[in-house]
Amino acid sequence: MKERRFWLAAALTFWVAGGLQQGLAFRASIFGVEPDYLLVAAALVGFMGGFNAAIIGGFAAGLIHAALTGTDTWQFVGSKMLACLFCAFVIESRFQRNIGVGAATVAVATVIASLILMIVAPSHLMGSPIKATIIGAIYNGVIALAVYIPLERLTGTRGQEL
Amino acid sequence: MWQRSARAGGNVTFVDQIIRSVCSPIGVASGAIGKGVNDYTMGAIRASHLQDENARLQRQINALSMYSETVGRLEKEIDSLRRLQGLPDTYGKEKIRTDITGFFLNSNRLTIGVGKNKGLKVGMPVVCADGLVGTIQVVGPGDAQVRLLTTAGVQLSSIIPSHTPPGKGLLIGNGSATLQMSFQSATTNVVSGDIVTTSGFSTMIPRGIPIGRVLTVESQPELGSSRAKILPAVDVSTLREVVVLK
Repeated sequence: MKERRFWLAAALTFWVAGGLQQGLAFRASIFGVEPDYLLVAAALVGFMGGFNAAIIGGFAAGLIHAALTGTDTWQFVGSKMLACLFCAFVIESRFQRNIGVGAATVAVATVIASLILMIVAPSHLMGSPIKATIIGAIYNGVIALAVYIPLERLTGTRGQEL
Repeated sequence: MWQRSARAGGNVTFVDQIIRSVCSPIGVASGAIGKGVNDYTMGAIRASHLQDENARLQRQINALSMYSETVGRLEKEIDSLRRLQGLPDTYGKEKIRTDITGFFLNSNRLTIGVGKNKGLKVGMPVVCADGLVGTIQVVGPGDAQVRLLTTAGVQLSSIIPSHTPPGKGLLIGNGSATLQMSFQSATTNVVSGDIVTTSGFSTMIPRGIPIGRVLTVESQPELGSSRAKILPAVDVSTLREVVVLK
């Protein structure tokens, strides 16, 4: 029952994140860096749900992001899955699960995903990849701060293990 | 090679299409909200700058409007002066050019900058390139008052030279923008558009000075006469210089 609620909430989150990525991300860019709503959603789902949630969430986020941008699927799927696995690793280790750790984890996950993307698909268009990565990490971390509590309530994982 | 092929993707597959369609409602709604918020925020941030820019543009529009108005007026003036320069000398009179120094449209008169000092007399015609403006009413030492043709009570013998024999009539000012011409015949072949000129039946006003154009003709069989409404040839409001025929 709890698992069903969690996956339904996760699916809803990905749907909303996909829509925001499609319609809002380019308008919400700061210093030329767009937020990655799908990565935030996948990272938090992995953070709250563990390894299985991280793998499935990362795959779904990568698939949706690739479909929306029209680029190669595996670069997004791979980078997001690995970033989400890091989030799951954090929560499976001795770290406390709370909003601060969640936001920091999302920020680090963003850095990981960006680094992987830089390796598998370097873009000559990106003026300063390091700077963009740092800004993107902070941006996604702030978004994670905002959505952490609602997502925790939605998935029913507040104060309990999945 | 693998990296390049990864970037070279971009074909919209069936799965891509489905995912885009599913995300579309949220995307459209969030995009609209984002645009609204963005516009509002940018408007609020740049309000002061926009106000300044708006005021600057308004000033430019005003300046441009004044500029084009001035250019239009000067073009008319140049045109008028050119024609005035080439005013035919067939009237057999000496021409005294002068500026208009006063404009009293409410009392249908002008003040011109010459008077007895140039030998002006009451009744002399005042013309411009377009035709007859009026007649001298009062002569001062260095200026004179010109009574416009449209003044109520002004009467002037006039003809329609395009007819054979020329249609004769009495032109009467009635205080309005148009003049009235009375013919001593109930049937007249005057038609709208005919040009009216001075008749020359006067020692002061020579024949052939344009007065205006027939607007409408009205026959009055019961009175044994007919009359026409005449649009003056001269637009007094644009005049700057006139010529007195001495």
